[in-house]
Amino acid sequence: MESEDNEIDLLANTKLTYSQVFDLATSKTSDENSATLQNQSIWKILILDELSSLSLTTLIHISSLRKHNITLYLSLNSQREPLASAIAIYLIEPTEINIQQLIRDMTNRLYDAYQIDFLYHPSQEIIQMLRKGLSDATIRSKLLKMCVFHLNYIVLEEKLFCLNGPSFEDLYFSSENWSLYEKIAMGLFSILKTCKIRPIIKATKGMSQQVASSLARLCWDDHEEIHSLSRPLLLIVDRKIDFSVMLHHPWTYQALASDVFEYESNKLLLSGEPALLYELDKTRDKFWKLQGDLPFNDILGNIEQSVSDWKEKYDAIDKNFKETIGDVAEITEEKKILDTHMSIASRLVNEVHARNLHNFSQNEAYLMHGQTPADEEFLKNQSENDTEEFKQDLLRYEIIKFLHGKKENISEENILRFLESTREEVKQTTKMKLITGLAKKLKDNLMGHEQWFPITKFLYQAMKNTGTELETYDSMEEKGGGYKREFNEAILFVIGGGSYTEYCNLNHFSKEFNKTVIYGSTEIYSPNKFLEQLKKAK
Amino acid sequence: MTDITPQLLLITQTYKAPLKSAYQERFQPSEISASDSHFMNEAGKLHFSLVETHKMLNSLFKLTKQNTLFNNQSSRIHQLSEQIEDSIKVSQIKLEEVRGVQIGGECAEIIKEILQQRLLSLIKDFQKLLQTRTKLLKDNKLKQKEISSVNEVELSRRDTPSFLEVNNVQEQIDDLSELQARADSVEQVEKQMAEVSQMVQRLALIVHEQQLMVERIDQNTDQALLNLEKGKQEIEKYHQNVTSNRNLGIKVFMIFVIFFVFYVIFLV
Repeated sequence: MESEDNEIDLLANTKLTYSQVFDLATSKTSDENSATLQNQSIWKILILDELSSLSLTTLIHISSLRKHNITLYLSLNSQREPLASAIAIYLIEPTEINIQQLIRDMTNRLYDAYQIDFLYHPSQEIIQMLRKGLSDATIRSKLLKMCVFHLNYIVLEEKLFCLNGPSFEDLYFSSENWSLYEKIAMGLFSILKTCKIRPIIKATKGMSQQVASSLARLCWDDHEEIHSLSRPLLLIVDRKIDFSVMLHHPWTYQALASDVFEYESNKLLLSGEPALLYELDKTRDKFWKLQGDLPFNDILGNIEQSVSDWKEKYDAIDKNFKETIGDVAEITEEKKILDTHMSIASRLVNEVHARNLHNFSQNEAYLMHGQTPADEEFLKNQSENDTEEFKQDLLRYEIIKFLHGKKENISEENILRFLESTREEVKQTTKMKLITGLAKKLKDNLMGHEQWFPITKFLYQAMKNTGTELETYDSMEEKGGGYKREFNEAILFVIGGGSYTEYCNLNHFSKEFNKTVIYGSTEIYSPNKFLEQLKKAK
Repeated sequence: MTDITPQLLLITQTYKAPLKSAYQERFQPSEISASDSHFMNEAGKLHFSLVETHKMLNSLFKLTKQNTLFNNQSSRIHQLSEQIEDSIKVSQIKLEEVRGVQIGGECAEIIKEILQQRLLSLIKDFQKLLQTRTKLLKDNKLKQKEISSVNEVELSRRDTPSFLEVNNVQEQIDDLSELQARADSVEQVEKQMAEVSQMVQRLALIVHEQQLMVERIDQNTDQALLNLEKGKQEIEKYHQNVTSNRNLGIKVFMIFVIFFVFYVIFLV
């Protein structure tokens, strides 16, 4: 039924849409005022609000902006200087505040010409507001174009996206939720529009059902022709399905790094001395792409291997310099990437060692799969440890223990109970010794321990069409049928927050079963960020 | 994408009319932006000509690839190639002019960079074209040699020269003019190659291509983030310093107290 080349390509499609946005004002094919286009400036500036800059930053580099003749990119809320002879492209959410700012800019004659692009469809009130604002003819005349796009989501990786809210707290601890569901449905609708697909929507009961039904309605009201014959599965679930994974100490490389350090918009901030900031981009960084999902203990060896491979290549260059001169840039780039991962991994090793993360991770994994933890000895040695990090690690562990029924209640006292006996000082050895020693130890402990998380199992069943009966919504008005077949492509969307731990597990699943899975959520949280959200519960 | 401009402005006809008048109004800019406007216009023109030249170059590429022994378009290629070279030279002079305009503002600087980048990629493509041309010319020469040697063999086999000889002479004349043309082409290509590689060297000095390729749009906020992190560390250090100083102070004070007690009890 489906062919292989019908894969959902969210990343490429989104990039394509952005280049449409950038070219709109100067594209020649467009329309009636082509006469004015000729003597009009070709130079453009881009004005972004919070959502659009978050969304652009992971996808578009400065060089591609310049290819579209975009010189400056500015924040809508910043103090901006007037600029003559340039087209201002506004890429914004149609909110009241944004519209007010826009009208203010136009009245102050900040720029010569305006192209307004909305990230999603404005409401009737907003359109009325715009009409009123644009009633002044001289202002109106400067408006080249006003378009609605469907871009209110953030693509983080080829198979990972989020909607930039609503937060877990808002969804679970507040009462007024209808508008939030609408908002989520709008975000998902944008994704379907961008990829030009009409999936079969399945949802669990409750929140997800609400979102699914509004999404189906949005799809029915949309009359754009969809050519793709493939009908993937869109599975909407809510966070209730599994809380522990959000707090779990991960052990795969990317998830571990995002837990230990700050990881946002694909940028990793290593605190410590000196603070380092790395931009990690799987489209360029092969190591990150191929090894991000591997257990951390493998990573250490693999970096060494890659470095020695690299050295071989480097030596080969010296021998026949003339032929390989073109590769030099590529090879230096490769080295830079390996250096990056060296530095991340060595800092990670220190952190893992100092915080006993391997022990936490392993014991939690046992708990989550219904076994009793191997040993909690390591906690006893930590009783004098009153660092903020340890408290957090312990709290996460305790909550998981509680969730899996090994503990009656969790309280501060329970945590403090562990802080009794004396703590052993961790002796620092040289870095390499530490790396290899630890790697050996971890290999013994953790090999063959990877298992599927609840959400992965759930998705597997839904794709196979076995297990629990789910509510089904068809995104096409005239019912297409085929709801009961086996699916090869799926978008899994979690309302209330996603995590890199889960994402990694899903990646393993899709590789092993040869399926395409795109994972998305309202927000992607690191375990500690999710803990913060939980603490807000009353 | 949905265009909602008409929906928003309701009446398209009244919308069109003021557009033009306002446009003219706009091009009588205020005093501040007069030089700005001029710069932007010049830069725009240069950009336009760069784009046009690139189009020309692309069609030349196609032509070169189609150009075979049996479909000879050497003269057109020659001409186009001259045109492109001239246009590149003119653009280079123009670019120098534009670059020379002293005008404040980041925007203008970026426009200059964009133009440099465009010119550089144009020249590099031209260089590529010249390389393919050289290769093709060599190949053709080899092919022609093969063919003519075959001809000679066939000719020597036949012993009826009268009619064929005339033909042969004609062929030789063709060969000669073609040889001349090819020699011209080779000369032109060599000359252009030399010039182009000079241009590339000159431009490469001012264009930082590699770096920009990967720069993210939130780069400027990154520095702030790093500084924040550094600041935090500084504060922590300071805090430690202060606390250790305080400890020292307390110790010194204790010693004084002990001395005082000692003095009171034993010496008074």
